[in-house]
Amino acid sequence: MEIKKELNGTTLTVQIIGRLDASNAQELTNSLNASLDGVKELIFDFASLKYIASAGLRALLMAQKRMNKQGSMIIRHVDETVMEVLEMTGFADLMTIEK
Amino acid sequence: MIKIKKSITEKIIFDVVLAMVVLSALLSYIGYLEFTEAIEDQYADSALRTARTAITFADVEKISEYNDEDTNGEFYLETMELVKEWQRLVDTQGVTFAYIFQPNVEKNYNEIRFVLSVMNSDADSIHFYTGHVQPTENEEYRQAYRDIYENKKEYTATFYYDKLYYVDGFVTVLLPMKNSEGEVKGILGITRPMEDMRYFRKLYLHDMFITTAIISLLIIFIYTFYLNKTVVTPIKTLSDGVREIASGDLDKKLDIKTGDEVEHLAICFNAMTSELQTYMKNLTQVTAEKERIATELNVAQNIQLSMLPHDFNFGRADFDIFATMNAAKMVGGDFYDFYLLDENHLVITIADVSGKGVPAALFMSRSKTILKNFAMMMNNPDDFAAVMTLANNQLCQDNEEMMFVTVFMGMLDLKTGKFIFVNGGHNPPIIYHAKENSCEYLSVKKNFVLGGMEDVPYKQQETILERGDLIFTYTDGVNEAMNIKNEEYTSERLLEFMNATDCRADLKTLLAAVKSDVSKHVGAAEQSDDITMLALRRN
Repeated sequence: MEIKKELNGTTLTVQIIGRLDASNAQELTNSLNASLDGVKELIFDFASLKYIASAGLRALLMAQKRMNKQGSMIIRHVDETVMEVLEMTGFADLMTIEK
Repeated sequence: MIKIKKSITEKIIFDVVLAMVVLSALLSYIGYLEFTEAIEDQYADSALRTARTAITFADVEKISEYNDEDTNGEFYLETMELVKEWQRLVDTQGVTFAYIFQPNVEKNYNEIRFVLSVMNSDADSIHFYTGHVQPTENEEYRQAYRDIYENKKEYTATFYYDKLYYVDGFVTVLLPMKNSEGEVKGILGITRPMEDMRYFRKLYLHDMFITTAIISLLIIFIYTFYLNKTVVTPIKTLSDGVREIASGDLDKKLDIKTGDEVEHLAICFNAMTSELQTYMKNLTQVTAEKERIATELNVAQNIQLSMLPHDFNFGRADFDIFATMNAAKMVGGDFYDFYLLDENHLVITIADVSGKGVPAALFMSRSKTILKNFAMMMNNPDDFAAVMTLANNQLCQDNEEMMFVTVFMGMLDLKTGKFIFVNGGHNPPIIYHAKENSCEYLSVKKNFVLGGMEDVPYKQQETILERGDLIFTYTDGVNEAMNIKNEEYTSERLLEFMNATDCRADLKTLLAAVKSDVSKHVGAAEQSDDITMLALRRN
């Protein structure tokens, strides 16, 4: 997995490339915690995310909870497989997802 | 043990002997040359003395007049007078030959003209008469003539050795014969044998050899003893000690006090063994610690497994139930559960906690307990969704780590076949319709996972299980099982397999068949997630 972050004013765009599973979800959480201060809009770009495991969903949930307090969170360009997981777990209803 | 081909002592002694031989040969040669020169000087001195005596008898002014051949000549008598005096001198001094001659200066000393010559009475040599001309054959003699005529030397001494070893060498001393104006008119020569030279040389070499041999032997003897004491023995002690250390005795300390490199090496070895000991101690500790953790994890896994119900025999004919869980390497968060609420109501649960390891296992046990507690407290089957809602709120409390769990929970009315279920973010189960003998995914509402967010609404759904129908629930360890190419098993393949296999078979056989199809897909790849399955059939 590779994480690419781009901060534009108060908008942080996070691109996740590869697989997000138990082995690297903590890395994403740490990475987000380090750069979410002052961010009003968090955008996840999932164009290159091929797989998400439950540990990855947990990282998303933590980000969502934090952004509920300080702004908004959007998930973009979701791959079909990942979308299936998001829908099945009910995450799709709780989060703002733009196709 | 390694066999030593050549010991250090042998090597060094060989070197020392070689050096001794070379050195003594060199010294002998130099000494021999010096010795020869000293003897030569002595003989030359002796000849010079004779020559100086001889010259007093001769009259330089008359050098051209001396004649011993013309018996009637004016100077014959005078010449013979000189010859007589010289004969006496030559015989008493042990000289071989005394003579006066004039080299041919114009012809580059290529020849000499004899004025007169006197032989030792005992020698059988040729007598050169006045006027005899002799070519100069020896370059050394020519140089001697030149030294006297041109370089104004007071005398020259030339040594001659025959090539034959057993013949004595000779020394020839030449004196210039100068007139009153200091002009060199001729040369007086005295030749005498160096009769004791061979003897002295022999004696010298003999003594030298004996001395050198004795001294060499002495040095070698002392040196070997010294070498043994200072080098070989400490090294042997060292190697014996090291062998002992190598065979496992790390407490062994090398005690060598030589004050040299060997002692230093021993100190280094001692340092190495003590460091090795510390390292091994640490390693043992770390390993023990690791083993302890591994054991604890193992125990945790066993406890987790023992929390799952294993008794599938309710002694009832109206339903069959069976479940399996194949845990991955790490303690995981999958669980299943089933229990009768009363005579007619059977609850089944299958769930998967986010993440892995001990946190997941702890959250799993919490989830399982909470879900069962709320289910047991339920009064009205229509409130089945409330079990999830309450459990969710309970799980959300103090959930700093934001762990969550996906849950599929269902309740079967064994009398009517009504199956009420709530799906909290879990994989949809497969339902088998015995009448059509076909499988399909149960259409489930996509409610949110449990523990993720408080006050999320959960909606229950219902369907009818006819007799012979079957509900197959599983966790994502099944459909996401990966082979070495990172390809998932997929829910499509699962459904395909369920349709192909005999769903009327014994449940244990059915689950084993699914598991074996998943294993076929996974192949040599390592199992990454728990594989949990639960099947319920209404009879």
